Amino acid sequence: MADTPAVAALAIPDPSARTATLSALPLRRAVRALWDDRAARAAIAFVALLVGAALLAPLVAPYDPLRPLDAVALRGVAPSRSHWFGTDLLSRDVFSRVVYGARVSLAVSVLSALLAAVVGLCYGGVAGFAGGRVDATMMRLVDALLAIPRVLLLLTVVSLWRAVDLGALVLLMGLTGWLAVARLARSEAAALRTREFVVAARALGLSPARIFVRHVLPHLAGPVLVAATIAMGHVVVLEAGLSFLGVGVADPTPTWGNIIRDGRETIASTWWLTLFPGLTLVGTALATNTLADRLRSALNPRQLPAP
Amino acid sequence: MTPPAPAPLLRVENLRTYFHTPGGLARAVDGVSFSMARGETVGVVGESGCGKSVTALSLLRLVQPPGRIEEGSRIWFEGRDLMTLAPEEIRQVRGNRIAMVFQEPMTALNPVFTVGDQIAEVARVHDGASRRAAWERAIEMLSLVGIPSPRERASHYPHQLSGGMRQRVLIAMALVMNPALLIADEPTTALDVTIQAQILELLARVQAQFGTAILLITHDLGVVAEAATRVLVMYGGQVVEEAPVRTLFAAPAHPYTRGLMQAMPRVGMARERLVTIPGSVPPPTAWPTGCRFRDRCGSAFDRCAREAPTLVALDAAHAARCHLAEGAASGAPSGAASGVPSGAAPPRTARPL
Repeated sequence: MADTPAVAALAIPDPSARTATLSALPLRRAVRALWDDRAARAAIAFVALLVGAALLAPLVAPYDPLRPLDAVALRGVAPSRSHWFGTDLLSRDVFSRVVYGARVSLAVSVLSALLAAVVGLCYGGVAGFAGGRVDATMMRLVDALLAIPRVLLLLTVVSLWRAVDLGALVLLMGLTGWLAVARLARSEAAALRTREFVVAARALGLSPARIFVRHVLPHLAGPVLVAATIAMGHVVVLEAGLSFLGVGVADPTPTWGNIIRDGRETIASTWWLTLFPGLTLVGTALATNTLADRLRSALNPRQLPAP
Repeated sequence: MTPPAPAPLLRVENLRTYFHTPGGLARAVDGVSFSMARGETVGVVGESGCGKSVTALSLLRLVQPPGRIEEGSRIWFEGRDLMTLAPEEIRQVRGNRIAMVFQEPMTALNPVFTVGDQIAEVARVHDGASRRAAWERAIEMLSLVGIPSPRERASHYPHQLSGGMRQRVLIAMALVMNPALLIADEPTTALDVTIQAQILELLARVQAQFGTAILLITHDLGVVAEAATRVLVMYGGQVVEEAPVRTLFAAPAHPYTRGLMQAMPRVGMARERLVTIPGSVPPPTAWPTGCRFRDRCGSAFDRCAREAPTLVALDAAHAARCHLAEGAASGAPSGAASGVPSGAAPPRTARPL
């Protein structure tokens, strides 16, 4: 019963007078809102710096991250002008390892967040849009899977696997990370289902598949983008955690978690092995979370100018 | 059951749409029957919650769970019972033979697509038109509904248009396939008065041009007076009075109809205060026994609580669901019992309810 009381738009003398005062697309507006926010700008700068360093690692890193430089003279040397982040116990340059580690950490987090976003978007979107029993069944499965602690699941699978290559890691992270995205997509889709333009689309004879693709998915993109950004931060930390526990990426390959693990027994004397990769890790998590938070408000449809 | 002889465009028989909610069975539409001829405008009036919109949605089988159209409801349209159609078949009817215009032009358009894109979509779905042909069709439709510089407007987003223009866009979308029936659910409620008149004018022009039948759902008797030829008054999920628009205004037979009319301001009225109908529509989970209007009715008597009135024919085109009308039908000529001055031209008003 849509007989809501009339909200009369008062005093619009000439309909043609209200022309394109706001010509910007929603996306462009969101990007501008993001750029106007100082914290968001700082987060973008930090992530850009990391991505730049990771992409240009051979140019940025002064040394080979894998090769011991001098097992005697440069074993566990404190930060200096020639070794900004010091060297580790195998005399490898820590700065170079952190830079190369960014490659692994970022690649794993971006790819697995993407995987999680796509799977979660489709699964949750379909559940929420279908509604009723389909929705209940699908989401019950998600609830059941969410009851299993992610770290525990990852540890079990990874330790059964022995050596984990990057592809497998991405797959694992992605397939354990889509649940939160699915829940979000589901609730958004369920709300969209009763929105008037979706009812109007049904009244125009569009098939459910078409309505889903054209009228539901585009509206899920924003919230899912936010969720994916949060998921990226999670994966960075989680991957470091797995590496730290020795079940992540195998040893010679530098990851932030690996570097921290290399220094864990001598943390009192070789603090730089913990501090620098740790700071990078915290910075990344902080930046992605900030970005997600600001994205959320920038993409909030309720902040679109009401006509 | 054999299909009836070809006659009206639409014949609804005993339409019952119930919502099976945890709070009980809500009989939102409970035994509605009416018919419409080609090219006719039928107004449906009543307060909020009396089943008008659910009736409209039911005609296209758009009611969502927990709502359900009950067994035995029939919707004959162009010789077919829409209730028996498969999902793909009913989709062929929606937007094609029967189209719908919604109340809120703000929310009935998808904010992320241009209006031209959304109009073109209808042609693409139902006509299999190419992208380019559909776009040209959209521009044509925009100019048909009176939007200036349609080619330019087509690539605008909904938020760039005024409420009145958006309602025109919705009407354009509904008319793409030249439907035989247009259901307009409160098409002017969200608009201000001058725009309301323009939209009604547009609907009348469309009807004259294409012979579209219009089911006009509104709570505004002024809109009905202006646009409809026949009126259904709904209360409690039922039709309580059905009459040609002149008869209804000259001689309303149901106390509810009379109440609606007294609650409406009219030109040259001396009284300052309008008479209101006491109370509000009861929830559809708990309609009163007997007559559903009785606890708000000034003329209720003991029989109203015991016995539900049936729709009594007062003459060929006029019927009312009231025990008092029964007496009027058998005794005095209809209209004599009316408390409203007859012969007065149906007044034009802003929303009275």
